Amino acid sequence: MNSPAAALAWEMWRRHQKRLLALGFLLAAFALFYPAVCARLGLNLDAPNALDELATTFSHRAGLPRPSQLYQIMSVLGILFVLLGPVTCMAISLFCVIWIFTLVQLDPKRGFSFPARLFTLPLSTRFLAAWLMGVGTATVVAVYLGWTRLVHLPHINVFDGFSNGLVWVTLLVVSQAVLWGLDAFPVARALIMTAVGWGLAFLAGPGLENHPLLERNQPMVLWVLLSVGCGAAYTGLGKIRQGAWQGWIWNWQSVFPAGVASHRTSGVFRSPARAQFWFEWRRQGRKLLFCVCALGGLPVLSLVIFKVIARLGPLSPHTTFGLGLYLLAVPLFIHFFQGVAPERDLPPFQATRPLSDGEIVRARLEAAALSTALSWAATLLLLAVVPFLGDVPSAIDQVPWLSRNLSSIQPMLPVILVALIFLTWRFIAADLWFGLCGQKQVAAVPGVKIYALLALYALLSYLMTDAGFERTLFQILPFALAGLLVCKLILARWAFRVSLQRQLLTRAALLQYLCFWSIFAVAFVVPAVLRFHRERWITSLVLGILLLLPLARIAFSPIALSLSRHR
Amino acid sequence: MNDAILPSVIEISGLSRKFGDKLVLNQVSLQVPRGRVFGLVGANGAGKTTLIKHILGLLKAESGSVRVLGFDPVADPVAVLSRTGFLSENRDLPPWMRVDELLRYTRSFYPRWDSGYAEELRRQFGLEGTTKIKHLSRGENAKAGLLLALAFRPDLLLLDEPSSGLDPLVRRDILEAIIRTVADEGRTVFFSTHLMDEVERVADDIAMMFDGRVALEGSLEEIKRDHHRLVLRFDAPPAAVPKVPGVLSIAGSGREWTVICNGSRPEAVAAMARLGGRVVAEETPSLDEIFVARAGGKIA
Amino acid sequence: MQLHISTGDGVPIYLQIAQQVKHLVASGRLAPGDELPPIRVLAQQLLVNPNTVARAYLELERDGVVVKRHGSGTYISEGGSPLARKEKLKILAQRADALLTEAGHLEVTLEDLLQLIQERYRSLQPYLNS
Repeated sequence: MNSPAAALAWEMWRRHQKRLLALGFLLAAFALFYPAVCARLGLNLDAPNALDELATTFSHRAGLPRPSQLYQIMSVLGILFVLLGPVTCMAISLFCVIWIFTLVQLDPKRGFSFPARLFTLPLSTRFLAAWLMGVGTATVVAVYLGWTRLVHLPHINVFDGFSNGLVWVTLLVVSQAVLWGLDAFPVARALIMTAVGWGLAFLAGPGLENHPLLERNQPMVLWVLLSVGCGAAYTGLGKIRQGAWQGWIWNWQSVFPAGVASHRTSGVFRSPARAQFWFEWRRQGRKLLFCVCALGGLPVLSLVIFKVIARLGPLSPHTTFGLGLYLLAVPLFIHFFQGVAPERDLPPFQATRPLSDGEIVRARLEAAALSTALSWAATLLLLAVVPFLGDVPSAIDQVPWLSRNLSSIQPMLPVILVALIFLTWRFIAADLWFGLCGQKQVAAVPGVKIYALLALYALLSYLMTDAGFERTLFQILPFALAGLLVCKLILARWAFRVSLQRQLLTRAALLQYLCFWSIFAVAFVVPAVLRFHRERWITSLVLGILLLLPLARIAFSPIALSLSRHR
Repeated sequence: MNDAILPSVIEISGLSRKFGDKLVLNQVSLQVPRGRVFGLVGANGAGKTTLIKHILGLLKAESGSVRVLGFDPVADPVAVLSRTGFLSENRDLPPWMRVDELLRYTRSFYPRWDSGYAEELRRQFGLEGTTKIKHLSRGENAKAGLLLALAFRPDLLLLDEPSSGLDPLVRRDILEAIIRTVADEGRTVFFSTHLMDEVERVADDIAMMFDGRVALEGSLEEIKRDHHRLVLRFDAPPAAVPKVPGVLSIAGSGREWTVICNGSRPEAVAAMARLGGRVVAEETPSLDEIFVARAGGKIA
Repeated sequence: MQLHISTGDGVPIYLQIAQQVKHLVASGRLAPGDELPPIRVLAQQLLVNPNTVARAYLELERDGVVVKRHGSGTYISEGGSPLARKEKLKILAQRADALLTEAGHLEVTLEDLLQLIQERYRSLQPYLNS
C-alpha cells in the first residue's frame, strides 16, 4: 500500500470481491453465449424493435393446437427472459457498482450510513469525495462500455434510455449526493432515493413520448444534475464528517400534542400473543408495507401531479398496461425478496421472552399476514387511480388474449385476487423455517431454490420439444403430485405431533391453523373445479393447489425455532 | 414441582460445554440457595456468560443437567422465563422502541407485573417515557433493562456483568436493586461479575471460575475465614523468590514478603521458619487478593 | 447516621458496622434511646447485604450496646454501660499511642511530655468546660 488511494481501493476491492467477480462472470457469459442462444431460438437481434419479434412469435405460436398450451406459455416466457435478460443484467451490474461507490453500510445503531471510521483516517474530505466520485465514474463507464461493446444487446425501444452512458454517471453522482447529504434523515432519504429511481425510469423509459420538450433538453438536464450532484455530494460528505444536522431528530411529539402520543400507548395488551404480534409488526412488518407504498405510490403520485400541473395527455395504452402490471407486481416482488432471504437472527431479547416457540412463530406469521393485507389494500387503492391517468380498455387491448377472454375471467377476479394475496403471504410464510434454524447454510436454501427452479424450467423446456415427452409427463403428473401430497401430510402430522409433545404449540393454535388451511383449500379448489372441470389437467391442478398451501413447512417452524433458541 | 419449598433455586451438576475445540465449561457443579445473593466471579472468558446462557435455556446442556426453580430451562422455557428477571450484559433492548412502549410490551408477559412499582422505578431511574431506546445513554439503557427485570418481582434475578462499563451512580442503583430484591422474602439474586468490591459488599455465597472450572465455592464468610494473608520478615533478603509449599501466592521484595494461603497454616509456617522468615502480621485478605492469588496459581 | 464501609480492609463488614456504631455511641453522636435505622434501610444506604447488617445488629445486641424492642425496632440501650467508657478510653488510647511514638522520635522524655500536657490543659481549660 503506497498511498491512501491505493489503500482505499484495496479495501473496497476486498469487501466486494465476490460481487465484482460475479458481475464480471455475468458479463463474460453474456458476451460469449448470448448470440448463440438467440440464434438457436431464431431471434433476430438486429431488428429495430426486438419486442416486435416477441409479438409475432407469440401470435404465431398462439395458433398451434391445444395440447401444446403449456409449451406455448413456457416458450413465450423463455423468449421474454432472453430478450430482456442482457438489459436487466446490465442495469443490475450498474446499480451494484453505484451502490458500492456510495459506501453506505449497515450500522446497528444508525442504520444505513456512511462509515464514520473513514473520517478517522488522515484523508481530507475533498480527497474522499473526489476519489469516490472519480473512481466511481470510471468504473461505471468501464462496466457500461463492457456491456454495450462486448455484448450484442437487442434493441428495445422501451429501454433506449438505459443505453445512454451519461444517465448512469448522473445516477451515480446523484445517489452519492442524496445518500450522503441526507445521512441524518433516513426516512426522507429513502423516499427521495425512490423518487430518483423513478425519475431515472421516467427519463429513460416510455414516458417521454408525451413530452418532446423534455426529450430535446435531456442532455442539458443531465449535465445540470451532474454538476449540482458533485457539489451536493462533496458538501454532504463534509456535513457527515462534522456531525452537522445530527440533532435534528424529527420529534413527532412536537408536531402532534403530547396527549395524542400518550393516549396511543396507555392501553394494555390483552394477551402475550397480542403483545408479540405488535412487536413483530413494528419490528419488521411495517418495513415491507412502507416499501410497497413507496415503490407503488411514488410513480402514481408523481404521474398524477404531472398530469394535473403539466396537463399531460392520457398515458399511452402501452404505458397504462405497464403501470397496471407494475403495481400488481410490486407487493409480490417485495414480499418475494423478503421471503428469499429469511431472517436468521434470534437476539437474546426475543429468545428470553416467556413465550413458547409456537407463539413466536405465530406472531411472525400474523405480522406477515397483516403486511400482505395492507400492501394489497394500498395496491388496490393505487390501481383505482390508474383509470384517471390513462384509458384502461385500450390498455387491456394490448394483450389480445386478455381482451378476448375478459368476460370469462371477470367472475373469477375475486378468487384471483385472494389467490394473489395468499401467494404474497406464502412467499414469506413458506420459507420462514429455513431462517428460523439459525444456520447460515440453511437460510441460504430459499435463494438457491430459485436457481434450482430456473434450471428445472430450462430442462423441462428442452425436453418438451419432444411431443412424446409432453404426453408422458401429463400422464404421470397426477400420480407424482399425489405422492408428494401424501409425503407432505405425513411430514406435517409428524412435525405437529412432536411440537405438541414438546409443548412448543398448543392444541388450540394447531386447530386454528388447520381451520384456516381448510378454508383456503376450499376457497381455491371449488372455483377451480367449477371452472375447469372439463379440462384434462383438473386433477393435477387441484393437487397442485393443495401442495402450494403450506402445511408441513408451518409445522416445522416451531421445531426449527427451538433449534436456534436452545443451541 | 412445587418450587415454594425447594431449597436450591438453581442446581447445576456436571455441566460441560465445548465450542469447536475449546472446552468452555468443564464439569461445572453449582447449587444456588434460595433467598440469598450468589456472586459468580471470574475473569473475562472464564465461562460465566456461557453458564448464564445455560441457566436461561439459550444453550442446551451437552452433558450434565441444569434445573432452575425445579424446571428444565430447555424443555420448559416459559416456566423458567416467566419467573426469572434477566439483565443481559449486551443490553440488547430493541433500539426502535420507546421506553413506554417497552414497558407496555413487557408487562403483557408477566401476570405479576406491579405497575405502581414499575412507575416508581421509572421515576427513580429518571427515564422519560417518550425517549427511544437508541437515544438512551449506556447507563440509562442498563437501568431500563433493570427496570424490566425487577418490575414483576421475579423469584430469581439473574444479572450478567451488570456493572460493566457503567459509572458509579448507575452501579449504586444496581446494587441497591439487588439488595432490595433479596430483602423481600424468598427471592434470590444471581449475578456474575469481575468487580470484587461489589461481591464483597452484597454477596452471601460466591463461586470462583477459572478457565471453565469452579475453583472455589461457598459462603463468603467461610471463604474469608479460610484465607489468610501473612506478612513475613526475613533476617536476610532471600536470593530468589522463596518457595513455600502449600501457599497460594507469595510476593514482595527485600526482607518483607506477603503470603496468601488458605487453611493449612501450621505446615506453611513451619516451612517459612525453615527458610528463615517470621510471621509479623496476619490479616484477612480481600476477595480481590484471593482471586488474584488463585488465578496466579493457574498461570504458573 | 453516617457510616463508612470499606471492603478489602481485612475487617469483616459486619464488624466495621458494629465498631462504628459503638464509636458513635461513645462519642455521643448517638444518644441512648435513639433508634437505629431498620436493617433493610441501612443495607440499602450502605449498599451491603441485609444479612450483614442483621449480623452487626446481633453483635451489638449481644454486647449490650443496643436493645431490640419487640416489633418496633432497635434502640440504643439506656444508661452509661461500662462499654461506652471502655470505647472512650480505647479512642484516647489510640491518640496516646500516636503522641508517645512521636515523642519517642523527637526524643522528648516522659516527664517533659506530661508537663506539656498539663500546660496545654491549663490554657485550654476555659474552652474545654463548655
